[in-house]
Amino acid sequence: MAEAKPASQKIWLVSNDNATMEVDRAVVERSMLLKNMLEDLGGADVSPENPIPIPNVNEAVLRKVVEWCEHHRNDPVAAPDDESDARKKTTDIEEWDQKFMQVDQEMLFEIILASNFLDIKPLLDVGCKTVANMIKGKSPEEIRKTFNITNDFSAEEEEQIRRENEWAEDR
Amino acid sequence: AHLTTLPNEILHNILQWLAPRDLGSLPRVCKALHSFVKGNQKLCEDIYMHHFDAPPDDERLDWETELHDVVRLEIICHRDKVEDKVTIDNELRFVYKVVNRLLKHASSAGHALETSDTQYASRNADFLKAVFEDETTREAFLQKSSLFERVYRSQHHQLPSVRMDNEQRQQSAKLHCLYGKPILKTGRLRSARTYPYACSKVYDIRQYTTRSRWGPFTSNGDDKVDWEKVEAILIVLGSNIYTKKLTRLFSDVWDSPFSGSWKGSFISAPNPDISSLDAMDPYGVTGTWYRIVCFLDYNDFFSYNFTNPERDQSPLHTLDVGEATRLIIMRIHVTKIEQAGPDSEFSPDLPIVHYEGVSRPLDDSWDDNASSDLRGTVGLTKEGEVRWTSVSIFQGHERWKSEGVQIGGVRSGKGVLGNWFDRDYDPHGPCGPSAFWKASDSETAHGTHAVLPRNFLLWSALIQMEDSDDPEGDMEYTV
Repeated sequence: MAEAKPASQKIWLVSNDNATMEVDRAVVERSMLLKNMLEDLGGADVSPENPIPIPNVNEAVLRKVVEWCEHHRNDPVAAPDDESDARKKTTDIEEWDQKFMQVDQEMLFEIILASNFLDIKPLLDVGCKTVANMIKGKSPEEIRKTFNITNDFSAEEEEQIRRENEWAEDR
Repeated sequence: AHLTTLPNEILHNILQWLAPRDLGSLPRVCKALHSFVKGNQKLCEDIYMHHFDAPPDDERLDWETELHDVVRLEIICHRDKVEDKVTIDNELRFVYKVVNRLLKHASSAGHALETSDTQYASRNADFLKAVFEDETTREAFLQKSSLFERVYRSQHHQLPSVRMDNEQRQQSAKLHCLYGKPILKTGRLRSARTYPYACSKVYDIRQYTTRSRWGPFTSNGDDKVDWEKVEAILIVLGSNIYTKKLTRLFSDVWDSPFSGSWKGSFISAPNPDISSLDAMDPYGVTGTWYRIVCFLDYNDFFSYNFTNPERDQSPLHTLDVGEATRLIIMRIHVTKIEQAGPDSEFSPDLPIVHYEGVSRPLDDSWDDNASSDLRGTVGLTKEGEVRWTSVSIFQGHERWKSEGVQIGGVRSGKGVLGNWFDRDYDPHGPCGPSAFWKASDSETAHGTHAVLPRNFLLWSALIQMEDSDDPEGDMEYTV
């Protein structure tokens, strides 16, 4: 174990577009990637002049991720690999998170990718559930519209795949 | 970033939260999603596990087929009209198959039912309960046995729109038994009671022969359960339980669709002092059980069966004269466990367990027949059903015998439905229906209070306030 780490200890992060931000260590540690890194480093070397680089994540996205971590700084850490429990989870999303996820699609996918990279499992799940809820109950055409996807099937392919999936339609 | 360009790992993470039915739309969106979803067993498994019980360890499921089938089941059952549900491709067989599979793969959701101390909740059972919520669904699939055919023909002047064969009638009757909440009325506008028709089957002594082992088995001696007989027992007992206002006391067993209708649904209390015999007993025999027994006045029974001029093979006329009902506590324990031999009528897959114990009336009614010693056996039939045999012994003499099957299989909370009859197989009867279900793993729960169902005292008080001139009168069976 490294030296004592008061909750107020500050950590500095820098986005891939060179924006530096100061964050409480307790907030940063919502990211398992950064938590492990800080435990290895002790965190003493991190300073405004020597921030932790977060590649692949730009300032706007990083600010969103930090905002989420701030709000959830005191959440209990889920036991790792609590398979049985995780499987029972539903697609319910708590209200604050729902509002938080009301962003454009580009940002939504960026948050998902960032939380995946930073290893923030609860944020990744909220993001994925948000996208899943945008798919649920929609027809193929509605899904295409929602996500701006081009139908790249030929007419014959389309007919064949429709038949393949007839089980989900009422005849 | 774009939905279709996300790394597979993340796409999987998103799609696992979908409902099973969405898997029918996604592959039709574009090539990328088609190739990701089609045949993706891991994705199907994760979606299945989000919605259903984890299947028992020894079951290897084809997750994609399972999901497709439950979606079809939902679609069929959500059709508006009874006719649309049954007639298109005759869906009864399919519904039967999928319901049985879901119950076979049911397992505890990790907690008890809200309404019960002895039954586990299951997501599969909850799903089925929701699917059968609609009355037209029950009419389409749970009311296709010969019993209901008679009710519809004579009470609603309706002929069946599709002729069911014998196998389908059996399937429908079994579905009704698994549903477990007896259907006592049919028809929406002008309702008809099913009870008189069920009585005409249960109290028809011709149903009981050595070939049917005097139990709810088929008459051709193949040792298979005759679900139409079990269904009639369910209705007769259910109707008596309802009129005796017992439904509230035992709502988990008699009033909750699909609850306890699966293997292992009874909640066993952890017991470190378990005897070595009990530890080897796969059926969970030892403990305290509730039992209900109904019977006709013997004069009614006799005149119904033997003064009828038309003694041919057709069903007897309806019977609605009122019966007596006894609520009983059985305390039994395992005495011996043996392997089924090569000539046995039982399957060698599970042992045959012998038990002994006592039975006592739970209500105040004083009835010698309710107080006796008991002994019996449990085994697995070759067909794979759990069969219980019991014999009541009065002052050292065997008197009544009973045969039954456990709905849902080994250690189900639903318990056993069957028939009782004279131990010497007297062709003059009497006979009647009986059911028992487990209350506790403890055989020696002290005093009756330890095993009284919730609200029992309130119920006793209510019953005492009621007029007691019910038709049971003071009938006695002479030996």
